Amino acid sequence: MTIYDDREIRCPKLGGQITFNYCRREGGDIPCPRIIYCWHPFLPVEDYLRERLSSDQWDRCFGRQPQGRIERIFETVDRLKKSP
Amino acid sequence: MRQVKVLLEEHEIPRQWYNILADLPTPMTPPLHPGTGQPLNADDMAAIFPMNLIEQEMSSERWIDIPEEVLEKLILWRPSPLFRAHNLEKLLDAPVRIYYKHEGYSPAGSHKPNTAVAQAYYNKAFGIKRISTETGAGQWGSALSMACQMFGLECRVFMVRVSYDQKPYRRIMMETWGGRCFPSPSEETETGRRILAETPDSPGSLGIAISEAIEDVMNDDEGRYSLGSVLNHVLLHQTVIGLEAQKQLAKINESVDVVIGCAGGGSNFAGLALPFVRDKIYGKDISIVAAEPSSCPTLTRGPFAYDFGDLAMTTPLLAMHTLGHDFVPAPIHAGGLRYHGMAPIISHCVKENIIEARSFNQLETFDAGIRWARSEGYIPAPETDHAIAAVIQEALRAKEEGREKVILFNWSGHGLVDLASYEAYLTGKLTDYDLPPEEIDRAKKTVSAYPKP
Repeated sequence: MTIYDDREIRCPKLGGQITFNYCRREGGDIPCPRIIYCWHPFLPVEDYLRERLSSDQWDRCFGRQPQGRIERIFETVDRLKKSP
Repeated sequence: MRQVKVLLEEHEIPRQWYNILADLPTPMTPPLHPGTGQPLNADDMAAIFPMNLIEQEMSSERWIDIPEEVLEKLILWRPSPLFRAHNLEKLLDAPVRIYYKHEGYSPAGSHKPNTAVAQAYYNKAFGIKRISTETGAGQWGSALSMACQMFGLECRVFMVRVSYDQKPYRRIMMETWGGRCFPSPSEETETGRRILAETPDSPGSLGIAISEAIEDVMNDDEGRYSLGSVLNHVLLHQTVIGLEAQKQLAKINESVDVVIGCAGGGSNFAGLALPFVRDKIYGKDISIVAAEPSSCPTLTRGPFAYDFGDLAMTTPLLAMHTLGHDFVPAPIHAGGLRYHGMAPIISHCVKENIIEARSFNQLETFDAGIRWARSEGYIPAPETDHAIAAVIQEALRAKEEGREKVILFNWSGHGLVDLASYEAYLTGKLTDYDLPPEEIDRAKKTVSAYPKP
């Protein structure tokens, strides 16, 4: 737990209240790509993440445009078609 | 006694959905398959959607008949009333008439069943026996569970685990309607099992839930996937809202100047707005506004100056505490600037300047929702609060300009199963922090040339 973990915000993706703890773990070992955009009015989130994420994690999280819903759906279909 | 509601008889319910694709002045760029880079085609979609819905998705027919079987279900709560918000008008003391479509009357409490019922019908007609989907906080999962029960289909909902734990009433709604709700990641799919093996306490994500829902029906001839927003056919089904509103406004000889809706995935906004977008395309002077969530800090912490009210600098200068109308986070985060779940139709209309997008931060939106609840009575869903914030902004502009305005908006759903959000607001959990000095300095520089009140 960190000092910000129990702060809450409404998540536009989920449509409900979630904590900072969730946002920083949403992608497994990386945060949700929206984390800085959503949280910057409330806490020094960019500084916080720069201290804690490796450069690889930072690039994986913020280095590209987040996928749209439709792209995600059909990428998933493709992946499942190809898997044994 | 003044009139509050404009009602339509059941037989006056629209018999056709309206397809904006027939009237767009410039063709929309179709979504591309992420693997091939080519426009998605019917074969791509056939793995997860029934062909009758794929035909609707690809159609450019202007009017599409609503099947009788769907109408029979819709009239359980439709046509929805058009209300006049007399009490909010009085509170704002502005020269406006505010009307709203009340979509909270459906059994699920929102606009979602308008498409859930249609999708359940079309899947049933195609011979499908079960539908899987994902849901975040549960609005879509609830609506689809209800609709599947109406048509005798099995419904399997993968609910993001963090939301599943927080919102037991949504899960219970789904189960009451006969749906099965699994916390995602779940043991039901290979995707879920793999993630749980790696991270037993995974709180889940929308991406994982989508993967599970799709895996659940892939390679099952009798199973299909369903989505509650974004896609063309979903927006098509929702146009029953705007088409009803047009009939109701005609009954009272009223013509609107501004149409407003909150926009997440875009379906409720499109439902109200697209029939009016058609009017605009054919020359009517009308503003169409999509209210989105943003994370711009509350204006009250910036220097007090005159500034534009929107990024496009189209409003008169308003006196306010401002951080500069162009305040955005550093470009590195521009990728997250707009929620990438927006419907392509809406994105296209925004790009073509047919629809205007405005952003409101959560403190503004909850403030608007509270003012609404305390004047009009109904407690809105937090998403709906974005539309109300835009309505209030528009009303105050009318007051500033001294110009009468007629505003129509979509009251997309009630917030009675989402009161935890209001509790967070009312107990002060949703507060801004002090901006770093360099951000304040940047804001001061932006507005230094603007007139001071």
